[in-house]
Amino acid sequence: MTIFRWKALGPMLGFLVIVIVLWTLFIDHIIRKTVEWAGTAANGAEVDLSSATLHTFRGRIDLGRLQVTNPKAPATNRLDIAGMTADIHVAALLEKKANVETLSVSGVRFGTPRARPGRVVPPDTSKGFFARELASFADRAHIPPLDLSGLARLTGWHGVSADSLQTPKQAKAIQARGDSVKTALEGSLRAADPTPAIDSARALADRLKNQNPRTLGPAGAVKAAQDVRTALANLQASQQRLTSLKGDVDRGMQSVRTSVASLDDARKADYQYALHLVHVPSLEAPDLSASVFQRMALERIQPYLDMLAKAEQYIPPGLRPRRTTGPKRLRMAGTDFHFPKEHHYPTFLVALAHADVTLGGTGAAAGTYLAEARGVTTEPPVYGRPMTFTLMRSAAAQGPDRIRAYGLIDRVTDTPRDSLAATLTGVDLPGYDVSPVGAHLALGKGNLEITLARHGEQLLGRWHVVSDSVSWSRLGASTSTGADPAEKDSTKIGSKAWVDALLWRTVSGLRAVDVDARISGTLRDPRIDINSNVGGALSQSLSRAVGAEVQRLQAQARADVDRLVAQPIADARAKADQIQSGVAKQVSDAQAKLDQAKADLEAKLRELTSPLQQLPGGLPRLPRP
Amino acid sequence: MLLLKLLQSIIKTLNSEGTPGQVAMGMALGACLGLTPLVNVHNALVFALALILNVSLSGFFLGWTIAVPVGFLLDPLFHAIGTALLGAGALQGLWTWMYNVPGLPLTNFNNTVVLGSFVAWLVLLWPLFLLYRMLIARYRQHVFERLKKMRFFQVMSASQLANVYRWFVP
Repeated sequence: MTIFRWKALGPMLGFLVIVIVLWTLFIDHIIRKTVEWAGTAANGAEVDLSSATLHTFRGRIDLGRLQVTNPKAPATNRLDIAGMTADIHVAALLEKKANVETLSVSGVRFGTPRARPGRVVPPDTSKGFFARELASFADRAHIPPLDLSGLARLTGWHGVSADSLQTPKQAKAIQARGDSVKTALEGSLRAADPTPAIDSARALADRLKNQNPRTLGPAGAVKAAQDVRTALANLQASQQRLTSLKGDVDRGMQSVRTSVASLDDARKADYQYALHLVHVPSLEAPDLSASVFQRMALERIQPYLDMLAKAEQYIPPGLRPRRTTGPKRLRMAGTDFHFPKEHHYPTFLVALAHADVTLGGTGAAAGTYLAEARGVTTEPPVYGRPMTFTLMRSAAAQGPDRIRAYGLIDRVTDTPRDSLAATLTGVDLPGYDVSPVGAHLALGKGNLEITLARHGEQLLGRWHVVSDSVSWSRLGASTSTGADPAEKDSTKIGSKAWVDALLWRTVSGLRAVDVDARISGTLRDPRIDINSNVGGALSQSLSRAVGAEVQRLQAQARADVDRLVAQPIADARAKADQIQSGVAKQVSDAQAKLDQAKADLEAKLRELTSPLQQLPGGLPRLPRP
Repeated sequence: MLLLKLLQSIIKTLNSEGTPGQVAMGMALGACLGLTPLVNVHNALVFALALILNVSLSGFFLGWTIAVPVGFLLDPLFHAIGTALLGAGALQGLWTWMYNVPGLPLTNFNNTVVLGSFVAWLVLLWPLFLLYRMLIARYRQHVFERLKKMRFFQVMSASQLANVYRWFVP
């Protein structure tokens, strides 16, 4: 009986031929369906690809028209690409990795209509930290309301109760804490009292005052020296206890002093509380700027944060084995383990992509653009370089001088670093309803600069818009329709009519607008600072109108708070001084006495031992205490 | 109908002219296709092996058929084995090397069910062969002599459908 069945080779070769034929017939279809499936999952709405042609031996794929449905407007395409050609690294395919060496994209358009509305799929809920945090980012940023109704109550200061202030409570707590610190330290001082050791040392010094080795004799001198050493050892032990106690005293004092210093912050908080009682609104330019423009800035920055969120969803940071759900099949899907290796083929990579993008229409952005991206990969640590992209206008349909955008997404290390920067010069800026001042702001032609950087959870960003050709129009709902006649009285300070008139008078005279929004902090705790000439103008107008009265009230409130908190603060400081002058001084005095007694005894010891060293045969070895 | 074909396959296989060893090895190899997820490179290799080696192809398909439900039932166990192997710290170097060698990732070895079931089949290959060989030998010695006199058995054996694989019967 033979081991091999050679006649089976024929059917096997036949099977192989069938596989090759099937590959040739269906691989283009499989690629097309795969692109549509993956694109739909990533986009959240239907993605259509008209054709795909694989040139296996040349390592090239030609893709036809790609339409990416806009999930928010399914009848239009978010992105419409006429064609793409990708040169693929064939060796990487043998490792189930898609590495594109160059990708050429032509005829990119946006917002084109679809023949039929695209299907929208439910969003993926398994998002990364950034994406989860982003969903509530705008809610986390506190936007101060522009509430000037408090100006109506600028009639007088009715005082504030001491019980409602923080400073007196905090000062009392500090006093109580000072007492407990003092009691504890005094107890420790009693336990470490060096007086018995000092008295004993002094008595010994007195006894040996007129003695010397000759009068004591050799045996007496040895005995005396031993007594002196024992006394010195006792003094040393007492000194160590005192040193330890001094450390406790210093720490206790430091703690109390820190608490006393925090009283200044408590007093500032009490000032704010007192001002809040009379609803005196802030008339500072930054606060007014934030009230007017913070919402607008957040809405304009949000799309760029969305881009970073998408990046995190598909490009996780760091190089580590990852686990994903296995492929769908009749059998259990299991889990796919991925074992990336540095400087090898990433699972997906587009080393270089360039595209000619055309924006149609007659708008400010219309024209042709050159876009280039490098290092687009799902595994940056494997590729070893960050992803970068640039976009610049090559020809404008009209108007704008310069549009340039640059981005970097660095996920090479565990700490993600992303940055985006865009500069648009001389473009028609979109208008905005500035509801806090009841007006629509048409920004006209101006400049826009956006920078956004993320390092780990830290955010740093700027949205800066400048225009010197703005126009304002009053929003219809802004006119006062309140039932209260006082609210319609434009002469009554703080009434809605008065506020509306003042705001409109101020902003309608502005022809130039400069809004500079700076984002800092983290997604959990974002901080947004707004500077604007509009806020400055509002601040000046309001200060002129009610500034003197507001300042008088503010001074009165501060004085009232000062009066109520002065004594508790003085008491707390006195308590700190008391600890300093009491326990701390006692410890210092005891240390000084100890040092003196120690010095006396050491001198005596030298006197007793030095002549004995010169005796014939030397000094017998003294027992150490 | 499906059940009849299965019965026919069993009868033809167990009573073919192949030795119990050839049938048993065919069945043990066929178990790979049933125990592990089908559409994988290693199954193509095992199938090619079954064609090239002088084993019973009827036995191969019978072994495959028997192992399919077992594979489905044992998937959680295979997943656990694969997870333990792919997550083992001592083997990370081996997996990382294999993951980055051209061709090897196409085997889907990095999937827990694929690796777990394949390793389980490899471990069971020889015991399955011994078990099948013993059962076939006993069957032919004790059962077949009685069965071949039965009417039902003669009808099943006479069907031409089973001749599809006659070329490959040893």
